[in-house]
Amino acid sequence: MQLSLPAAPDYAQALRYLGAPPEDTSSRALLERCAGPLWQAAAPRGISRAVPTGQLPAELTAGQDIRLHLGDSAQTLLFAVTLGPGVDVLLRRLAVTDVAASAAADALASALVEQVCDAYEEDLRREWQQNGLYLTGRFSPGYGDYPLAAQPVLCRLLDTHRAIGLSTAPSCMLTPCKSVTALLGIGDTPRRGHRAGCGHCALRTTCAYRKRGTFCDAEPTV
Amino acid sequence: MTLNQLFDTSRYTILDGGMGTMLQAAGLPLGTRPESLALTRPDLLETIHRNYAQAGAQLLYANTFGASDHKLAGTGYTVEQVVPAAIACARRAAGDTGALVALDIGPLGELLEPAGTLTFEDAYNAFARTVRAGQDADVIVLETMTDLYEVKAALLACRENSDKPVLVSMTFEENGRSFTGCCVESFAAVAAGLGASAIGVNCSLGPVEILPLARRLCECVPAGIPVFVKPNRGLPRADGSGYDMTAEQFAAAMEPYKELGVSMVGGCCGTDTECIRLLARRFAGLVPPARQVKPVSRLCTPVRAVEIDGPTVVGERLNPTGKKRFQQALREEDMDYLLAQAVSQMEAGAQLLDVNVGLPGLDEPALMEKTVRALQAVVDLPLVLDSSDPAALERGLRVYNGKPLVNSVNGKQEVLDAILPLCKKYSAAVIGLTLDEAGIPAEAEARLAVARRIRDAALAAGIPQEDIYIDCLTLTASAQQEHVMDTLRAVEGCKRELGVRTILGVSNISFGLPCREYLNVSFLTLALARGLDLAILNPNAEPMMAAVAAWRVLSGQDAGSTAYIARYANAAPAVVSAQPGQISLEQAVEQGLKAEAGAAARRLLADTDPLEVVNAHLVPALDRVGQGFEKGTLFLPQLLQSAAAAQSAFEQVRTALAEQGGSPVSRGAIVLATVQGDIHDIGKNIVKVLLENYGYQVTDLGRDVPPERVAEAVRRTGAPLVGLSALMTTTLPSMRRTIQLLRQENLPCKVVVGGAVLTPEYAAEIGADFYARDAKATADIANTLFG
Repeated sequence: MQLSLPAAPDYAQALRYLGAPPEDTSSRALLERCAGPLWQAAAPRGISRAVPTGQLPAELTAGQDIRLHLGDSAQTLLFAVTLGPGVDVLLRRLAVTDVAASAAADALASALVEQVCDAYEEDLRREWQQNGLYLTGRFSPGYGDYPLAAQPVLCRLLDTHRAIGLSTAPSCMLTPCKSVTALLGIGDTPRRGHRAGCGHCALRTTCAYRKRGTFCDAEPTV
Repeated sequence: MTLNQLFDTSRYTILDGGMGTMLQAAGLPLGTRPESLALTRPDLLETIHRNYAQAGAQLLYANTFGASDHKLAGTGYTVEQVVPAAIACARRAAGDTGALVALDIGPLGELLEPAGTLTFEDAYNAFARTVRAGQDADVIVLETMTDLYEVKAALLACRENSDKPVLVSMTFEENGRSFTGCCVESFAAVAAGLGASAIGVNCSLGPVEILPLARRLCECVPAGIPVFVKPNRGLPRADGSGYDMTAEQFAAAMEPYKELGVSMVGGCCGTDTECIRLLARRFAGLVPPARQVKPVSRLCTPVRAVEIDGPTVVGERLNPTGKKRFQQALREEDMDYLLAQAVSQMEAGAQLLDVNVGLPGLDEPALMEKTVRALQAVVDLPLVLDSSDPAALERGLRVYNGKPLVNSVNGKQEVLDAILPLCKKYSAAVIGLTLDEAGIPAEAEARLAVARRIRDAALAAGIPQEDIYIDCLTLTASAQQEHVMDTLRAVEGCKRELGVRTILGVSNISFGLPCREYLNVSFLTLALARGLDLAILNPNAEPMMAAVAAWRVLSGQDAGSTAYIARYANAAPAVVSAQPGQISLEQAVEQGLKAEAGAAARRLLADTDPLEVVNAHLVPALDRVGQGFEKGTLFLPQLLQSAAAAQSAFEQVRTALAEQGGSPVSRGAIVLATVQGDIHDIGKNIVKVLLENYGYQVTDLGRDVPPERVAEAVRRTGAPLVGLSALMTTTLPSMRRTIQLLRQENLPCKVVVGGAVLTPEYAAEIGADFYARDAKATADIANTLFG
């Protein structure tokens, strides 16, 4: 299904991705220049489908972290979102004409796909709650010890190529680039799931957030 | 039913309904691969096909939608097992109903380059394998396609590996575009040109939503080719419990299609035998109305179908003739330079781009293919492939995504014989130059005679009239003043007497005279008045674009002067543009001001040696920015804005050196690549700009680069340093393989690696010489290494 674009860009998040402080006005001005073309280029779509957790193929429950996250959830919601190939075209075009704008648009697009995911997740959460069911947060392949190899399986089960134009390359990378897949647990009691933490993270030794004593999903963005 | 009846546009052919729907109804477990059923549950498939045949379906799509080597990977079955078995199920079910059987081919499920990593050739090979395995079918169906490039790969695979007719349908969203942005008109132009026997729309939407798209398709598919639809059973219900139409509602919603001239109808997702039975009852035995299709000259890329109806601007700058900097870029295969030229022409308002990469000593066929691939990844304007070498044209035509224009043939028989069949095969329009063995005739009448011969030869080769363009050849006013008017009379004659489109390279008129633009503008205006369609010119020359815009107002084409007002309402009529402030090159770079940096470099170059500009001005400014970045007083965006400003200054240095015939600036050669399997290249691009700013000669191999290409580039350039980047844990093994190959081949180069998931430990483990945490660190490593 087509998803709507958020009313305003998340500049704070994009600045964080760029490694610039929130008060840096020149970086913010650069991002503002990119917002118009990005909003023009993006055509967000999403799809989700609930399946009984017990019937998930083994590739989708590989690793400790995803099993901890789903916990006793009787069902699992498969979730995918893409901004569409237009954003990739924009980023390729900027890459040959203006390297600064290209990095800024890339960061803003990453922030945008998160915004779109958050809004879509919120809608789904509301719908399920009307039936007395609760969702955990999103858990994506690549978090903790959850392998990227789950990505193509998830895409196949959701038929994402046909449904929203999202595919995986042989390296398990999502194409178009600005896309997200995730699993959410569904159960009849409120639940949060378990975040992956840093224990199994590929970046744990070089992570700039850890060096600052914070976490990538915990640092305030405003 | 015979094949002739199937494609007969004076009767309705009933197609079948959804296969997945029927399989789901049979209760398959989660994750079952439907294609495997041809071997595990042939009885089930046969029953479904038989039910459709008995409901009235005259063409049964075999259960081969995903039977490609890509989609069967991991199932344990091969294409050669699945395809014949699935076709046999449909064949048995057809029995004595007389229904024909189609080899059904869906998308490969991976995105093609440039959006994904699947190459056009790999896609072609995958489709070819399925086509060869499907010889027992009566026809081939390509369906649910969302990418025009994939349609082209599949159609070529069908045409070159089988003689069966091919039906092609794409799937669109309500806005009339596929997920990849392809519009209905581009689909029709390419599918018809590549020889599809029927063209249609299927899936994604219900009959109500597809109706306007089918109407558009009926207006642009040539009248002799049937148009077909296979809609879903309405739209999916919000709760995921199926589709929102009853079988009767579905069939009733198909009634309006009787007015369009569609001659084949069926159903897609959600439809079942009942839908098809009711559809057959409403359509079988009736006669569809004949479609009236107005021939339109159209060139396209997937997202842009350009109708040639009135003056159209062709950008001329992708051409090495007389441009030393462009020649240098071609020799160095510096695609980014070409791409920047292309984007700048697009932004200036060019509607088509002429592409000429012919330069003595270079492999033009290989370069043409490489350039076409690179251009279509960043600009969406249709291309004019400009070469006299049939091999170069064929390489470009084969990988072109859309319907291009070939520049050119002429009146020489051997040229017509070599190039017209290529245009026909690859669905290209063609330009004919009015010259032949005897040269360019001076008189208009003689040029018209050559044009007539070219037109007739093109028509005989199967190229429709609307795809023929004649270039009457602009003779220069300085050398052949008396024949300037002959050119214009010939343009008029071509339009009036031959009914073809016309094109001229406008700027030739002023060659050898001062203030060329005055002459160019006047000649352009005269030519437009005589009926010129395509004007090849420099779109960055505003007076030329203004002449075209003005012509559109004066000829009434720009109704209400809307486009003219939009372009010029806020522009001062004076030609003097605002001068960027006179700040120094150092200030411009440090403040990240691109235009000012370019202007400052130009001023400096007037009396300063180019190398001095780099070493005494650019590099120190970049160093100061770099120090600020390291101290944390400047951030990545400022670093990059400075880099972009330095880049534009550097471009002035390169141009100056190329004009002087001096050798390019080089502190040393470096090869850069994003490793195989990875297409996240932003980090690599940033590194490239920084290294170039420091004067290194960077060979950028791009992304998804196999180890062999890296090794080849190191051998060719003798680069002492290679930079590799990877963003994902799954592509790190490619990085390791690349380093192993470089070591195995004893190439005396150092390797620096970087990318989000890399660590210094892992870099050491895979044998890299250096780990760089960011672009600045890479530049520091290079500066230390090269001294």
